[in-house]
Amino acid sequence: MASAGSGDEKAAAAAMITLISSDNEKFEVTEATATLSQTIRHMIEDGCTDGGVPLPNVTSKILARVIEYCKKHATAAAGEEGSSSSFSDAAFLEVDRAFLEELEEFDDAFLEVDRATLFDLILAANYLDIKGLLNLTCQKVADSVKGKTPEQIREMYNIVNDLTPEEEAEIRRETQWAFE
Amino acid sequence: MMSAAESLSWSDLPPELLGLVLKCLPSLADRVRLRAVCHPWRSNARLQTLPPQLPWLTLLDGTFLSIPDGEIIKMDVPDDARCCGSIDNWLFLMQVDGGCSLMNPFSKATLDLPKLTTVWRQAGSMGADVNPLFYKVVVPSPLDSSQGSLVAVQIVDNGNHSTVCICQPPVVTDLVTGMGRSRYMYDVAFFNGKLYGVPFGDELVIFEIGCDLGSEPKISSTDCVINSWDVLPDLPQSLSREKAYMMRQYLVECCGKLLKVTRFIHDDHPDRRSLFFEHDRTVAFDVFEADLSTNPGHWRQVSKLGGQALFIGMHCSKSFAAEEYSGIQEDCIYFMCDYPWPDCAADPLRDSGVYNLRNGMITPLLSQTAIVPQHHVGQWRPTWFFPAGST
Repeated sequence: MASAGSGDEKAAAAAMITLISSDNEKFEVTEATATLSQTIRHMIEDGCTDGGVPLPNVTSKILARVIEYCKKHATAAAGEEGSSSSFSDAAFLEVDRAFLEELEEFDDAFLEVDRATLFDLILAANYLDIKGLLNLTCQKVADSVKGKTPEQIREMYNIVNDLTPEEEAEIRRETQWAFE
Repeated sequence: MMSAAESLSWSDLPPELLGLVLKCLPSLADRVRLRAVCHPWRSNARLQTLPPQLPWLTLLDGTFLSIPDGEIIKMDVPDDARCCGSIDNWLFLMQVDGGCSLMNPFSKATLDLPKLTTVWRQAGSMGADVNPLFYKVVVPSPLDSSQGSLVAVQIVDNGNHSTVCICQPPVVTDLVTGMGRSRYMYDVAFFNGKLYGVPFGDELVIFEIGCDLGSEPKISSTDCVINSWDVLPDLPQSLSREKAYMMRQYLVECCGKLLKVTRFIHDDHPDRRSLFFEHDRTVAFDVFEADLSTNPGHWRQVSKLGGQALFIGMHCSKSFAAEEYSGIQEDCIYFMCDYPWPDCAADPLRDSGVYNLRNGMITPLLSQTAIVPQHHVGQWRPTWFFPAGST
């Protein structure tokens, strides 16, 4: 039997959760990693994670990437918490800065994916309610379209122009300035 | 079970996620172009409530510079009109024939104003060599194109005299050439529905606007409401007492307070024969809040803006909550070269920048990655423009 207090928390941190992708692959992750997802956190709180958490909206390919992200960010979060008590302020800031830089490098590399994967990552981040990943991926899309014409954006994201001639005319009339 | 995502394309991006992408695009032009990609994006984007767009700076050649990303934007403005001021997303335009109007270049709504130069010349006893130098147009409440809204215009001539013109478009209802203390004025602004002016010196004056029997708004009196400081201000610490500074003052409403912003400009060129204004550089700002709780009131210096950013210029000043914008810094004053310059120095970013009121540092208006525009020559006046309501 687990003892009260910190013992419980330690046991919880080490607890493993099984995530099941839409194509029925199983992923074992720590609770700390899994709970970066608010959706899974709520499931754990409701005690409905025995026998694994089915995620019918997420393929194994995408789930593997999402877990990679969560692992890194969960470690970073834990590292920051740990360091705050054992370093002086200056040293802490130094460690903090190093962590942030490393995390930024990780995020940059993480986003080096094709457009289809990026799209699936956004949907997965939204479904799993992982705020950091959702912001990261949406920012990536926003950065990629800055200064681009609608035609360039369509090409980049493989989107068919289904605007009616009336809509096209309306856009030109109202917002010609944005296309010059 | 097949992933739902496999059958979806980018045009199926759910509206709230499209909204998140749009929120990461502070530039209006980028938002407009994203909305023009496909039908679902166009209709879904309309459902989103977005933070305000980044402000623009008008350039002399009639184009707009988006701050801080540096995009140059062309809007459809009549060829024979030049911009001499602005209010939010309205341009104050002056035609070659002297015709004046306010125009919203997005909705194309127009509010005709009287020929201000003509009215001004007819009313006064100005000599033939006296000409209007600049105009500031202010309104007590956000502009719409309905007739009957009150518009006040400050006209400053090349003798530095100020005239305040009260209009009920399309007519002028009153025109007062400043006498005594309000003869020389830096700036005017509406605050809580009242028109205030800041003359040279320590004062703040209020123009009481009343309606006479014919119900035309007229200036009934001009009173001094502040003529002293809480604590007499010293020069900002970074400034040397050995040097001379040119001073400009601006009035701007900020979070329910009326602020007076003092700008210190220094000519740092050793050769005094250099071109007029060419080497002038803004070196510091001071900000004072009008304390009107006592009679008379007084100026109280402030060192923070409570998270606001101020955009100041002689043709338009405005304050915002910086956090609403991505890329705009809080407790900072955004400024540009709004004083006259010789034609040869048409660098639109000359003597512009972002002054941080907390630490006195000045950084460039444009972000590091932006391409700095060169040589935009023309007849427009530099002013802030706050794009909104385009689609």
